[in-house]
Amino acid sequence: MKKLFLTLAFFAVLAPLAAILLTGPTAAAIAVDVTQGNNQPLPIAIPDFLPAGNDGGNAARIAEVVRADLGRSGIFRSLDPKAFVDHITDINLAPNFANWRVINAQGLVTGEVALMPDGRLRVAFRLWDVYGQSQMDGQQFFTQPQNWRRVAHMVSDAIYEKVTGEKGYFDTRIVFISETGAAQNRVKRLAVMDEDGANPIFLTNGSYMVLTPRFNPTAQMIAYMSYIGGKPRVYLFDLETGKQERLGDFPNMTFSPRFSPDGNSVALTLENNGNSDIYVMDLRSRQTRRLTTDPAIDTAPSWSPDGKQIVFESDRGGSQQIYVMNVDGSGQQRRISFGPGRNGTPVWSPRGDKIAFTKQNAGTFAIGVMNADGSGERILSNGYEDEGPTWAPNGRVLMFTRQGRGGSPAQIWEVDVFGHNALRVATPGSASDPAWSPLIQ
Amino acid sequence: MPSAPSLTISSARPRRPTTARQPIIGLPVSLVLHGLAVASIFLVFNSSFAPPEENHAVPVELVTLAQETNVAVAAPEEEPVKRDLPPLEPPPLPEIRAEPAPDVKPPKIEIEKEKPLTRPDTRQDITSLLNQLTRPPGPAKTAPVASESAGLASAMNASLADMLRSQIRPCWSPIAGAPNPADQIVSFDLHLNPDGTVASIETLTVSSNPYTAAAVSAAERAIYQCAPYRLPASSYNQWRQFRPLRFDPRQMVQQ
Repeated sequence: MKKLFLTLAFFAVLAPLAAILLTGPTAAAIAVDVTQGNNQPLPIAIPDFLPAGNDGGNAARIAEVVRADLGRSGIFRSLDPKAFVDHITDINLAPNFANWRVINAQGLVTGEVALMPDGRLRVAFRLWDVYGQSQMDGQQFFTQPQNWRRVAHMVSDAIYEKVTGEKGYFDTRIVFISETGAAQNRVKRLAVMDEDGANPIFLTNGSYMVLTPRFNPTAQMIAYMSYIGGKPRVYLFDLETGKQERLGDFPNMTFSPRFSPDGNSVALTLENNGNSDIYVMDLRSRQTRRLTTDPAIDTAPSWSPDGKQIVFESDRGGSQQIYVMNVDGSGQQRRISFGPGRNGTPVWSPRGDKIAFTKQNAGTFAIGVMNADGSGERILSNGYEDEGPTWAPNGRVLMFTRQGRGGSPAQIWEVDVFGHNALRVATPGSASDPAWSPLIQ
Repeated sequence: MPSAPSLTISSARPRRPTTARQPIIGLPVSLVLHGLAVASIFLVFNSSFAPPEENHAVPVELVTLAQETNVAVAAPEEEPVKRDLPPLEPPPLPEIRAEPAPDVKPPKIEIEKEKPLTRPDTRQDITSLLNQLTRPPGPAKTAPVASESAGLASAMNASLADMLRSQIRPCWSPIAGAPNPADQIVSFDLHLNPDGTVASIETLTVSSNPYTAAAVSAAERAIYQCAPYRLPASSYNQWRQFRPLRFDPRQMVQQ
């Protein structure tokens, strides 16, 4: 019995230990920090969407718009459909991921388009993580068939948001000044178009000059400066009704309008005997409030997204620079631009963290951004004459006017907030003074 | 395994009352056994829990090698995963505003956005399949690493960390620029198979922040895309698990 006890005890205690020793130790896990990567656009495959029955010819062209949107963003690289080795036959089946890894696609978008019996268009899509072999997103939209481009932009926005964590900006519009005719006799018309340059519409007939258009927060109203009757004044254009009205009954010229974030007020500049100052008009009561009284030129007001501060340009310090004041006009001496040259046309980012501006230095105009406190100035564009920045609603991309030497036609360009991915925006002819709308609701 | 000792000891308990002689024999046996147990545990744990050092002794640059690896494994043969996904949500009642379509006025449009399509669960199945394939290797025939010095072990760990890091780096394209950059720091518990393929990835960073979710996806894509990892087969026990595998894009923001 004693032997048995000893034997059993031996195995009971030593057997596990022996097992551990023989199989080797289980090593402690190794910690790894990855702090450097390889910033490349995400390769994404977007095959033509599948027509489910009658699609009204929309399946292929919706995918085409999504490919163009995402490719233009610089975040993605839309793979050429000619390189695809697989063919999607049903968006409700998981794809054969190996066939998409072959062409190095990391993302895959499958979609389906159908005309419903009630005449509406149904667009469904799924976003797949090819290496993780999982669905990242899946949504469907219903709309009237003529809105097929907007649905395509909404699909692009959904994909963009899933991959970046940031709202997209494809379902937005641009208001701008269309320029035609010779340089000496240029016709300037107010126009709007989709963010990708599609669907341009002229809002004015060109019989009077228009400048500096700005969207209100619902993208239904445009404030701009016009020379109707030979005098520059600020007007409002209502996209819903097509009507325009003069903003206020000021004796002298008004210019440089900008809506408040809540859309209830417009800040603008009023000129009086050579002295320009900033005013705010309440759109409901039409009462105005004067914010600056300095004998210098104060102009180009732009609101912080919380509506509490206004950034503006002023030459009160001797040269044109950028200042910030509270919305009641207090604290006006906060100059935030200190770099070389003159700095103007400040625009507060919709995200609140940055201010974009135009820098004039050594005979050229460039687009720059700085933090809201004036630190971290960075020049984003290096054209000859780049000016008048406007922010995408997600605060990641800017558009601006670019003009070459010798009075060459103005163009609209975009660039991201890091200064990458600069490209020309398609416009019908020459164009300037873009203003980006919020995401359309 | 842990329950075995108590079971066997209870079955070996003598039925009769103990005699005077038994403690005398039992004591030395017990002492020897305990001594062995303590010594074994010390030997094993002494080498197993050597703290990994943070500073890396010899940076290993394997970028070129990793790229070749990617090319070589670009098209692994694999059975297509075909599963029936749940049906899409039924269409809702049509309530789109009619358009008057004026000349200059751009259309005001309302587009309904439906509930998200349900997510088909393919990854879990694949992961569990992979897990079945990734049994640890058989018992080592030679003497265990217990005799290695702690310094050598941590140098080895640092070297393995560098090897993994340099192979993941070419595949990692974080989308920088979140309002709070710290939201984009994400950590994982990565288990590898002996052939360097991914056995499992567990996300250690749990957050509903969309920037964090996007950062998790970007890091996971990098881990999968650059696998399999080339690490010395002889030391699989060291590199079977990386934890935490941490991705921090803050230094990359302005690139």
